[in-house]
Amino acid sequence: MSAVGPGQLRARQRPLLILSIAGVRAASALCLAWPLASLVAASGIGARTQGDRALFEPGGYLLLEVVRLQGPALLAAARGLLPLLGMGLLLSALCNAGLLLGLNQSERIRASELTARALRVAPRLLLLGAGASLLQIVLGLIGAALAGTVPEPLAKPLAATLGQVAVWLAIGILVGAVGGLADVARASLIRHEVPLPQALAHASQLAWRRPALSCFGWLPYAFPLALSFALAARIAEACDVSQAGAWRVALVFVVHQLVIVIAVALRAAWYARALRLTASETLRQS
Amino acid sequence: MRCGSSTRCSISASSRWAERWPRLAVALVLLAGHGRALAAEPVLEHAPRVASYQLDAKLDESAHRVHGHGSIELYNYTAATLHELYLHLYMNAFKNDQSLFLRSPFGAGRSGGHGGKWGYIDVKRLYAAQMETDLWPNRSAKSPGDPDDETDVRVPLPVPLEPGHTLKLDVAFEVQLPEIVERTGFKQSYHFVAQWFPKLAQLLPDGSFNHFSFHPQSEFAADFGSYDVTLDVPERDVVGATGRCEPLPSPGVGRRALRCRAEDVHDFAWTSWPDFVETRAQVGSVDVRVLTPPNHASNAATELEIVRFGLSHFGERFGAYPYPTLTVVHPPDAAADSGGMEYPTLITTGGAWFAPFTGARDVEAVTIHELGHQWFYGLFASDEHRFPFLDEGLNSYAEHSGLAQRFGTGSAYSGFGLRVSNEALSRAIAAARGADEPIAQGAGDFFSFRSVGAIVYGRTASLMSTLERVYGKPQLDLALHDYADHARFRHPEPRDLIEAVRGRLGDAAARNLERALFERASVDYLVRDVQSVPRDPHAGVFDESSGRRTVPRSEPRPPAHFAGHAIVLRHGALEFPVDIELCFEDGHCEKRSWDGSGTDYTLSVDSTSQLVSVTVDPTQRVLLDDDLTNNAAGTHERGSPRAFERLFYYAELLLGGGLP
Repeated sequence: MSAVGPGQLRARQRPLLILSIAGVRAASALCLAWPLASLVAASGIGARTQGDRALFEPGGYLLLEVVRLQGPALLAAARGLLPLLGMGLLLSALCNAGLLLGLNQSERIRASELTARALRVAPRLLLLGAGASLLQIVLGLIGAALAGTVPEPLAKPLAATLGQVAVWLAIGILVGAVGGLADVARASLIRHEVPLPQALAHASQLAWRRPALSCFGWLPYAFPLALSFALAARIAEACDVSQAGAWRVALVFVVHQLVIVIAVALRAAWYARALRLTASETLRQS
Repeated sequence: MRCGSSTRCSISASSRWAERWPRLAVALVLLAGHGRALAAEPVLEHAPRVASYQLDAKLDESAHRVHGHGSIELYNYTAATLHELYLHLYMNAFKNDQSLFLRSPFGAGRSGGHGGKWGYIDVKRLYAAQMETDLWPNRSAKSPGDPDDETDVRVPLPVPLEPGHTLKLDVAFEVQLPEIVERTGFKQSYHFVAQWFPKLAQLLPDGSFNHFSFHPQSEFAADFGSYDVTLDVPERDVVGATGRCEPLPSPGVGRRALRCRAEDVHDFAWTSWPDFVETRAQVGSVDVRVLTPPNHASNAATELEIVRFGLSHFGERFGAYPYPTLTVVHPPDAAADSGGMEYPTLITTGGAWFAPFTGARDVEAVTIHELGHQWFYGLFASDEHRFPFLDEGLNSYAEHSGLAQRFGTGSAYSGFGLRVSNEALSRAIAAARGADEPIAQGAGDFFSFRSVGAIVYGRTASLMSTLERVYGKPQLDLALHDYADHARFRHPEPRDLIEAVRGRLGDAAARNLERALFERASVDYLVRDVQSVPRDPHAGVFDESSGRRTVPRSEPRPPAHFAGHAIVLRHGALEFPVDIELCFEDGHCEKRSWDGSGTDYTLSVDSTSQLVSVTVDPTQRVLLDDDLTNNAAGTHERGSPRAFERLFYYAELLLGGGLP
């Protein structure tokens, strides 16, 4: 197996891999959504002539009624699904490892081999992800504490809000930078096949040399994703599934699945970018 | 003395009033006001004047104190001789933790927590000139039956007040404002001054007083009268107050004075803050002022727009708004606890400066709700302590229907393919408490403020919406118009509402209303045992004149016949007529009607297509229905593909973590 040259590191080289990962995610989501949807159907909604169109009818009487009456059961079921959610998240992390590995390879790689290699690097990647998440949570808590200290003069509500926004923006930038750096460290770990401390050291060096790209290189991929979320919400609204017609549900389903595929593709594109970055900048040993 | 001139003003106001309201007429109106039928009563143009106040108030903005003095007039319109009177000292609710207000579980109150500073009122003098006595030394210092509370004070009269006579009291008092709590107090340089003066308890027709300690779940009740209040405030302050205010010559360096007068009202509140931004507009004959903090221009525009709509909408439904002014006060964010309240000709709203940009309609909702109070609380002056549903409940219904007219089915939320109305939201909250308690009971009798919210606000609104949906909006509008005509300036009782409904919607509707209000009556429609079996009417053994004939089932069956069967049940004591929808496999549906009498209704239907589902009340007319999910049953379940699709998508997003 040989690593692909930096010039060929492109997400579009791996369409099947992207679709496979979207498929795995869909399978995991199916396990989570099915029991909850069954509870909703059993609430009495499924017995109505119009079926669960009633949930989306203007006014929201039946939607709120199902939430009111089935809320405790749905919450209990959701709690019961937490282990499954945990496994789903682990599977997602494994998929992300596979995505990085697949993008980094010049040859086609068999699924079994990709899985085996992903399993090998997964502990390091999970440790990295857990550390980054912990740091982001700590930053969030610091942000909350700082936001609480922003003075709120009665006559300057705009200034007070801007003060809060400034605090949260600063925290958001730091949280985003931590996420970006963690991804770059992941890419370094895969690209150079180095232990976690060296991958982190490489990411730090990159952050020093090319801070914008290392910390916020993901931003150009986040914008189209946000746009696709918003567009999908608009389309779903326009389809108005409270009206009769199976095509409405089918269309919304297709649009939503397209968003998921786009999300995976954009992640792949960012990973490819991160791999290119780590490939072009060598690790300096101290 | 400035309008100390007060005496002259008072006499002059009295004279004007006397022209309109001969005292005999006051007595007749108020004495006839209880337990009468609605028919043939004239709509009152003005309120009977029973309790009137002429007050001078000086705000000490650094100590957050109000120094007040002036006079109070009580007209004994009853046939009874009065030997005592009662004064509400509401501000003492915030005096210490032993008051009824603060010792009650505070989480059950309207506000979020204790104020940072105590508040109280010290009455210095209550002098009755015609008795040549200061009545205050002989008052009972504590509330009747409550040695720890000082919000309800009995004052014995050394000389009885005969029917038809007026008692004039000179009063002096000092108020220490609390840090904003329960809609009153101060926050830095912002002052909202409500429930601040010694206030006469409402005189009832039998000569007793409607007096009570200030309970955290309760609001107020008072007699109509005129208010003539002079306010002395810092020169830079912008003032909002009940009534129409005119500037007076400056009372001193750095000070300004205003004289505010209001007639046909039963309370007086005011606010003073240097940073208010004023937006002003003439809406019909009403001079509307909107006072907001800086940077709230969008909220001011929203509130003004809702006031324009509301004055017209409520005016058509419940009679014209009769006052020349309306002041809308939007408190600064840090003093939000003084928002969302109603006073005569003055309402308070609330919301962050960016609220209009969030897509939520909270500012619209609070504005139209508080504006609606100008009728149910202000003009009708229903007893908010004894029957809070007559104010908050009916007003919540009016708010929901107003918002629905203005914003349609997405009045509370609209987005992601969902449209949720305030009415549906309120119904869900109310249904969660079901018929735990009667609607028509005193505010302090409810288990908690959550119960007040669910039952007084929510269940009353659902009850009125049910009447509207079942018996027709035009009919209910007529009934409410009758009620409003009757209630204007008359302190209505629940019986007045029931009679108004009976007059336009009939006995059955009135009976349902009465049971729902007083007897915790509820209703739940449900469908059971939907069956549909194929039937061949020609097959079987038949005894005929020619002998016994056996006809086998035809195979294949001719155009199939199905015998359909279902039971529709009604649980609970309320009986509303409902539609029942029967739908068949070939896609067609039929409608049956049930008048709701009896506890069950058996459906039998012969059809050429299989009966697949039966739904009772398919359009949710009966919002009081305890459980809307059991209103349908079928021969097979249709699943929930739409719910599954959304849950599936959200689960995928959750697993993906959102960002690339």
